[in-house]
Amino acid sequence: MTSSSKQLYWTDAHFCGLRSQTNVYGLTKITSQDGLTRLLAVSIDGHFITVEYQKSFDNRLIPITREDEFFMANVLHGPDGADLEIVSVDMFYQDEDKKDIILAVTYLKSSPAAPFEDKPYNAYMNVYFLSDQEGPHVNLIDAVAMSEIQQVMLVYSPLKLMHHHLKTDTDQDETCLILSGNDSKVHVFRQNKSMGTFIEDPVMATQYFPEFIDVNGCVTQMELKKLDSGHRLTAIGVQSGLVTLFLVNIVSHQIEKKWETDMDSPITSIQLFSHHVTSPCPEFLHVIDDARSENVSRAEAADKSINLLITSAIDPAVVFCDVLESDLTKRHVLPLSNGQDVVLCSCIMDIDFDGENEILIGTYGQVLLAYKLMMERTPGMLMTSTPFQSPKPVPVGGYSADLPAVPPPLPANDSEEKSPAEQVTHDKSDRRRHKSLAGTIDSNGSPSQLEKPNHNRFHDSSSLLDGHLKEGQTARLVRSQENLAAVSPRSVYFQTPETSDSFEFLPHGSLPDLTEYPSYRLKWTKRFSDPVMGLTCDDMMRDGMLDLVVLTLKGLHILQPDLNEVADLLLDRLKPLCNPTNKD
Amino acid sequence: MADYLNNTIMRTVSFVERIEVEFHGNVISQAMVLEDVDNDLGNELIVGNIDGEISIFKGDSPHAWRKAAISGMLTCLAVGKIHLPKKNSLVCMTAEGWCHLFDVPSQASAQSISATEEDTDGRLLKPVFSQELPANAKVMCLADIDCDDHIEMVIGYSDRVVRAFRWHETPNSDTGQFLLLQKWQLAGQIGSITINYDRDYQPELMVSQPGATFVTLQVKPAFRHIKSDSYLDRLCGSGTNVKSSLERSESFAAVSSTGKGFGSPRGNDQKHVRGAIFSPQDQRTASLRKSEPVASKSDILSGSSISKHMEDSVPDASFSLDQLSSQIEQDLNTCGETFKMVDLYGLGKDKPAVLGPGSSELASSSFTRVCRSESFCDQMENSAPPCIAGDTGNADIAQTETESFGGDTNSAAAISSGVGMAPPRLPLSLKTSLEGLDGDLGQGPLHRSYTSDSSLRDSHENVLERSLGRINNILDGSFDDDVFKPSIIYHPLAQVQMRNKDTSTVIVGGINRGRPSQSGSGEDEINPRATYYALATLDGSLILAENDSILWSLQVDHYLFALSKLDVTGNGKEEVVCCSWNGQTYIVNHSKEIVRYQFPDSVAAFCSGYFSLQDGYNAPCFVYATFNNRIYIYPNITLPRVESTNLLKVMGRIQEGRDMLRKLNIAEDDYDSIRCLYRYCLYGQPGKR
Repeated sequence: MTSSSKQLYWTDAHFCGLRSQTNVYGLTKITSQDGLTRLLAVSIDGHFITVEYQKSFDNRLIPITREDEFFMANVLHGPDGADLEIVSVDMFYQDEDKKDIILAVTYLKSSPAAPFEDKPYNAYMNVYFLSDQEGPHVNLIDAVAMSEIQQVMLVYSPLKLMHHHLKTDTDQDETCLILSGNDSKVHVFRQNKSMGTFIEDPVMATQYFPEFIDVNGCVTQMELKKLDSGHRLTAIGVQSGLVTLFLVNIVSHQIEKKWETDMDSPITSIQLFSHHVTSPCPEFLHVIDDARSENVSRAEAADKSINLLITSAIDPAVVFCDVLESDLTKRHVLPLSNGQDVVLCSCIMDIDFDGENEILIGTYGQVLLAYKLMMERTPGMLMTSTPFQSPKPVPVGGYSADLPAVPPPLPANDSEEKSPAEQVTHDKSDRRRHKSLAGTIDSNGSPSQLEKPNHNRFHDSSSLLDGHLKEGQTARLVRSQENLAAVSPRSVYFQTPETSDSFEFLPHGSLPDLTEYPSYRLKWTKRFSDPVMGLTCDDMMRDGMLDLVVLTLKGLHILQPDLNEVADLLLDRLKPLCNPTNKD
Repeated sequence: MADYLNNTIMRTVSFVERIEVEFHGNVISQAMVLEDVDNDLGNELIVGNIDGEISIFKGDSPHAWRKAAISGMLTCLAVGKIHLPKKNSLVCMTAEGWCHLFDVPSQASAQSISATEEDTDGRLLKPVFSQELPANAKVMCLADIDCDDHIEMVIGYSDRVVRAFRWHETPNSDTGQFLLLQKWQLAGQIGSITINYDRDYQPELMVSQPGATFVTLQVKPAFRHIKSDSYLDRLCGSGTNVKSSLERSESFAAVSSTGKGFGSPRGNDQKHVRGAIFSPQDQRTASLRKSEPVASKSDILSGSSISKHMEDSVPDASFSLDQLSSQIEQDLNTCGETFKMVDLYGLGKDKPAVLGPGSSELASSSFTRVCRSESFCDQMENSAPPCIAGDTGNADIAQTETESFGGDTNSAAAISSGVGMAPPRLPLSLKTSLEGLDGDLGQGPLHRSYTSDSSLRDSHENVLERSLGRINNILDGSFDDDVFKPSIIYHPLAQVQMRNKDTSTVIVGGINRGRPSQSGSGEDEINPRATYYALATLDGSLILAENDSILWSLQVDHYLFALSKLDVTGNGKEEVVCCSWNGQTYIVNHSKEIVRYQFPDSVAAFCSGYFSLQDGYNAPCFVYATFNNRIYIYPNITLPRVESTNLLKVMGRIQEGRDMLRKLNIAEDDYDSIRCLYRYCLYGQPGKR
């Protein structure tokens, strides 16, 4: 596939700032019946923003950003000035017909008298019933203001809030809310049919979710994936680093299989995914019926294998391939994934349109890392976040006439022009056994690490390391969360942390390249202005292509690849569809 | 953060990569430029603070690459090929009027930078040239304003004057000096000066005026032909001829009125008046006469610049001489102003009163009249002090002034008496003028001091002749078109819509509108297209205009104070970039699509341009100076596009894509199907092939 070698840069299509910081549970999204996706991000002080793309009257695509505040009307609380902290948020359609939206928010509330840390607080969950009487594209902000609210008092601190769709034994569709708490339990709320309110139902929880019965710690992340009509795969990660994977028979409600693995630090995200991307062929493409069926069968075959991605706070992210067949034995470490501070979130997405999913990881070090499964050693082509001169527009003057001839000035240049020797060292960095060493070196997180890689490359290794560490200290970007309101001038940086030469100081030739392929390799990085707290992908623009949504501590980014490049790719792929005869 | 909720439909982006450099002191936008100062093809950032400290930042280093310090309050910095051909130099202007030139070598002293003890010497630049020019410089623009392939220095002053200077090389030496080319007096405060290109790709000098208005300054065409060696011959040769002296008189008038600028759109007005009152035949006479003065104008100009050349012949032209000459020039200018003022009074004001009470056209152009009277007052005020302060040491010049003043006032007086209405302030000047006239015109002390020739005497006589001639003209009902050719054209533009007519305004011109088509780039080189210009006001209006018609305007809730142009997308069309005090930065393209960036701090100064991190590759760049001694350079802010768009739109613009959809029997507006198709192509298909 030519596309696999194609470099697609993802750049900001839109960004909207948050009034205050958010947390890892602060992003949710909802997609309406006709494909309109709306994002909702909350900041912990109660503000929330919604973002959606709509067409303006003159047929332009415009990003609509709205901001409002929960509890603004103080319907339930009164203007007591209580300290509020939003913990998690979730939003989903109540029914299959996608009409009424349910928005659930968990938060902590404490009296303003004592300092926040010292005093007792009460935890609540508010459920907003947003009626959709004004049509499918209801303005969420207005709807929240006018919605009915159900307040649930919680006796534990809420953590992850999510919803799950299940079929009851009476063959009814039902969506229930799942909330994990610091009481080492997972609470399931189901909607009361007559009242419409959500009530915790322990009986139902034990019946339908046998994997939640015995949870060994505070659940920080969980993921439920329906495999087929009879099975569900559930992964539960707890604060201690334990991840338990269950294969649940959802007809008999029995746990069929159970796996466990232990990380050394709190689990920050879990993904259950298949390696190959599938997309059904549209019905109207009859011309390639045979190819389609072939494709579908292949896709189905590929789909059977489920991979499990676990990211934890300190350890490198780990992928267990094909967990159903090979248990947790096929383990791939994402090299250097722990080099940029705590890994906070992850997302599975095909960012280069080659039919294979890449793993995106967001870190507190303000970096997004994209990993790709490489079957064999290939020339390194790490991309960085540097925006680039789009090669498509009409060239003007002397520059940008030809992009390949005039590469962007920054690291893209460096990484693209790696000599074979450098590549070898890059490969070395992937050896799993050097995890701890990698952690040590990478943790310097030097943004200027690669500023002059070609000059430093063959210098004395120890001095280089010193330099790296020193630069890393001065350029460290982590800021205290508490100090967000004040604008703190940040250190100089403009290099995406490129980690390929971290092992440069190792004596050359003393260690053979032991990387076993296939393995996951860092493919693309992008730096953000703030720690990356959440990642998701959806078709925001309603064009069939998935857009990447990145929640940072202070804002929400929607990223798009260069559409001219994608259009080229699309044209290439449309050609055989249009001319089935000269296919192949 | 403000209390308002952030509801918007504007696209916003976030730029991440930036270089933070430390630079102390107050920085103003005029003293921050991104240019290639060391002629290595890569742009540097040159920043100066009002204390006169200048730093040059190069590449990704957080430390200054070169430094310089000048005394005085630095107000403007510019980089251009001002005194050396094909070599950029740094020009610094202080509020006190000192102009310093720096040549920055790119590599010569590079090794000395590393040496610590030489740090101060190696990095500290010394000016290669300094000259004292009129004080109160506020904004500066280096551009070739008259198409002579030489860069002129146009400086706007806080006393509403614009002066254009040119570097004049001293013969037989490697130095030179700046000579005043032309001076314009404006009615309103100057926001910024810029160069725009009209349909013929001729440069227009634009100066922003309060209330989202601007003026274009006409450059005397004569200066395009000046040759320093020919003026004397021509002057002498023509001195005896009565006819040529008459010509000269006319051209002098032309110089005095066109050259030294009005603060009013009198030209337009004048046309109205003439069109309303005089017969077409008169216009024809005017146009017939038009050709005469053009040739002789250069003579007079060289006559007025006589003192310069006198000095030029002296190899060691010292500053005192420079000063003297510039003072003389200034004073001469003042004469011109005075002329003008009286002209204005005598013609611009009286005539409508007398001749055009029924002229509806005049009434319709009320704004111009307001402006005119305003400018009249300005000029009264402005021209008076230099006359009085006009050099106790140079009484002769003062006297000359009075004489010329008188000469013209006489004409005005004649006019006013002719039309039977005396302007309020005229009697005094009339008296002066009469005195001046009574005095011996032929013995102007200036002649003695410079022993040049009788040109000044001629001019005095000519003034008289001219004024008489003008009276005749008036009586005849005919005007010499060139005499009233305005040197300042006022463009009200969006003034009517403005909420605040006095809000300060900045302008940027020469906004490249891109190639009309991809093909035939060579053709386009030959026929470049006219450029757009943009204005921004402090109260939040942003306007893109072309040829006095507004293409779009935008009202935002921020104090817009810095305006520039930059091709952010790399498509050849330059976007308008505008920054507000609170850091909100707007990038707007020609079709009014907006993308914003919120810089997270208050902005003291902003500039955009190209900056090179390495190897002379210049990337679009924003620079923000904050109030806490930090400057942030965003070295690569390239965006793929300004507008929000999706794949459907991009593919819809590609003919091939549309053809394919047709082949697949998908209607172009069947978005659902197209969406499915695209999704399938992007995510479903690959494994198959």
